[in-house]
Amino acid sequence: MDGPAIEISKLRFGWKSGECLLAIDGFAVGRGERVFLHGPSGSGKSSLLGLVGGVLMPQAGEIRVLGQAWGELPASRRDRFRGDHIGFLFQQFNLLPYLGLIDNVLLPVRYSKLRRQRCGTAPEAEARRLLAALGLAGKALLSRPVAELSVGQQQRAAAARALLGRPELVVADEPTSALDEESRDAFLSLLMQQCGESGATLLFVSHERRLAAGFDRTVSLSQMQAAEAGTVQS
Amino acid sequence: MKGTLILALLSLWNRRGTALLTACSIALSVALLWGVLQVRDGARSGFAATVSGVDLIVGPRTGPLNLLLYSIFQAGEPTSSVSRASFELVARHPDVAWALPLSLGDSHRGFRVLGTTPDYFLHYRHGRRQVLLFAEGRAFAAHGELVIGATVARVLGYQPGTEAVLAHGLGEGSFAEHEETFRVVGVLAPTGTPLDRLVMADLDDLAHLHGAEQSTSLTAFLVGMKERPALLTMQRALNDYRGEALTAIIPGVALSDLWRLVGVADRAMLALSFCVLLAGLVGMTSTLLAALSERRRELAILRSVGARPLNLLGLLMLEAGALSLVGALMGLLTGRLLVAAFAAELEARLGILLEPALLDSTSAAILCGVTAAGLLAGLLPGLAAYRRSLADGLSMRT
Amino acid sequence: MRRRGLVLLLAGWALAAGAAPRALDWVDLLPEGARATYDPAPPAPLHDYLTGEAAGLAAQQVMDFAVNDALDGTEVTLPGFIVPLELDEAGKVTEFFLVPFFGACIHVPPPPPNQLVLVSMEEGLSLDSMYTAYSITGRMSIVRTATSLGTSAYALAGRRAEEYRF
Repeated sequence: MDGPAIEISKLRFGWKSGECLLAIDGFAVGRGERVFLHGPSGSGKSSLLGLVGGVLMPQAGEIRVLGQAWGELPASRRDRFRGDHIGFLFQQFNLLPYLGLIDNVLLPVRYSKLRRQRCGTAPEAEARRLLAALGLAGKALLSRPVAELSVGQQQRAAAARALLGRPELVVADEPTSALDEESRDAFLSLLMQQCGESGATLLFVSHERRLAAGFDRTVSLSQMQAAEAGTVQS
Repeated sequence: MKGTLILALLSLWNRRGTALLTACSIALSVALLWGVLQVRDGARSGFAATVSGVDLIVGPRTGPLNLLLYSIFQAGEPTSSVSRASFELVARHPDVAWALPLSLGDSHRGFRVLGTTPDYFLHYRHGRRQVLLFAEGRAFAAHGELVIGATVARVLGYQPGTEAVLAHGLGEGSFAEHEETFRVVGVLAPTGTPLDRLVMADLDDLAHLHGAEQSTSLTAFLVGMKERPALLTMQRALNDYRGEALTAIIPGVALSDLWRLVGVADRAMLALSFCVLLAGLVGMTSTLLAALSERRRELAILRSVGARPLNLLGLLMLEAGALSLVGALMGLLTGRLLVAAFAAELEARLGILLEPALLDSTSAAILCGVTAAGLLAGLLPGLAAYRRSLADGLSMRT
Repeated sequence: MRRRGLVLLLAGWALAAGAAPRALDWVDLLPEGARATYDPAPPAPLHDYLTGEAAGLAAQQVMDFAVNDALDGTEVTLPGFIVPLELDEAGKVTEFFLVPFFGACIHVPPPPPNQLVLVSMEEGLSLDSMYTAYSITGRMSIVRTATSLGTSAYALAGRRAEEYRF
């Protein structure tokens, strides 16, 4: 798998027939780049992430992740590819309430053999290492039910999960929006640090421009959109 | 698969309140189904096996089912009688191997007393030509001796040597007690038929009790022919006999008739129980479906870490299967507990013996069937989860 | 080569024909001589069966006890109505009379003894209703009985029962 981390060409996507939400003629993210994607709510950021993640399929055009075009893979292989190479971070409620903290972090290893292998002999030890690096350590904390953790702690655990097994691409959808001011910066620097260590490409989406400092590149969704969108047939 | 099963169990445990209620509704319907099957089997096996090897039952002019019911099942009451003379006539006939007189009309503490001759214990068969076996003691031979059925012995705590007073009539007791006391000399082994609830005494002893030297009328009598083909001719002759108004029935024919009647009722009961089970499963399916909207988050997280839609389908199906399995186990256990609590009562009142084994093929079949049905029922929410996770994409703006 | 094949074919045919049970009609149960004068109507009622002298009755009825000896030990199929005699625990009929007409045990006089077959079936027949006719297949045998009425009767060891549609 060669090629840029993400490569989009002539993409057209809409939820309903006729209405074209996203029209991107060309966009690329290089390996190891840290990109800040900016856009107001409802502009289609989440849909773009869904397309990048191979969960949504465009009506026209192509998206390649790590050189692999989503359209060329059958649905089951897409799921596997996503599990093997992409880590996701959402705004909130990232964790399964019925699993413990460590088990939540270990989820990707259940479904991806590749990431499991990359963890070495003891995925659990790797999980603990990541959690510690993100500021979550101590027996008391780690054994607490997930629902009792603060939002900040939950987000950091989610970050650990996204990074476990060194996926090449980390997609973060407004991960700091539920955190308070002080926590935001701390979280962001931790995330950046860990991505740097594992060499992962980071695609970070947020409506808060203030956070853009520190990223290699800042793009806005409106900039990415083509001038002539056209319509889509579903 | 194992991983998905663990996830399913943890997810159910997380929602254990609702899960328990769902399991309970399945448990109740399984207990009902199992109970109905138990009662049906118990009633049936006793029923058809009650009499065997008897060619004709002869009584006064009455309906065939009525005659069968009161002479063999001690259900209902005879309203007239057969003369001893007719009985002797038949007993003497060259084509007849044996004839057993029956006299019903007395009771002892709620159990019916049958007056007959000691030959009863030689010729009466049940099941597949199974002779009557004694658990203790022997048949009556001298005056004042009684033989009792297994249930009578158990409920009243009688054994050979116990003394009993017989009451006149069929009530639980009577205000005109007889003066003579009888003595138990034999206890029959359990037969699983209404015989277990009988007290047997000598025909003439009972007559003597009522002030006569010998009995002159009988409730009915049983006939065994030397050669079976002759029974049709004998039956015809008895039904046409001008000396007395008699009814002669073939037990097999009357039993088949009764069996058919009963069969209709118990098929209805069985169908009803299945409907109740279906209702329980539908309830479970709708609960799981309803819970899906709360679980969109959970499903999206799973998809984001690489779970395939098939994994999600499997997760929901396993949840449904696990709920059904737990429900079925609870139901079977509840059923057994209830039967254990009420078996004695049921037997004493209805004559149905329930002795469920700890684990038998019926229970295993119910367990497997309900779990499989649950897994299938899980297809519906499973497919919904499958489709939703595709449609939702990763949009987490809930 | 061809002749051998033909012989084998004929032998197979014969074997198959021999193995297949013979489909009987009730009239076949009568001895050859009696068939011409066979009257399918139920026989006259026997007066004094209960009280009459045994010897006299046997003399009267000798014709009706005559059997077709050729049937002894053969595999046959015979359709008729069921008069149940014994039921097993599951309610299946294990012993019964097979008779040519319905109602032989209720309000119609019984058939003559050579139009009556006593059938025993290990497996038991699940009787839908006594109004249904069944075709019973099995080995027929002639039993020498000794009753005041006569001396022989048909018995059948049934191994298969099928509903018979008219």
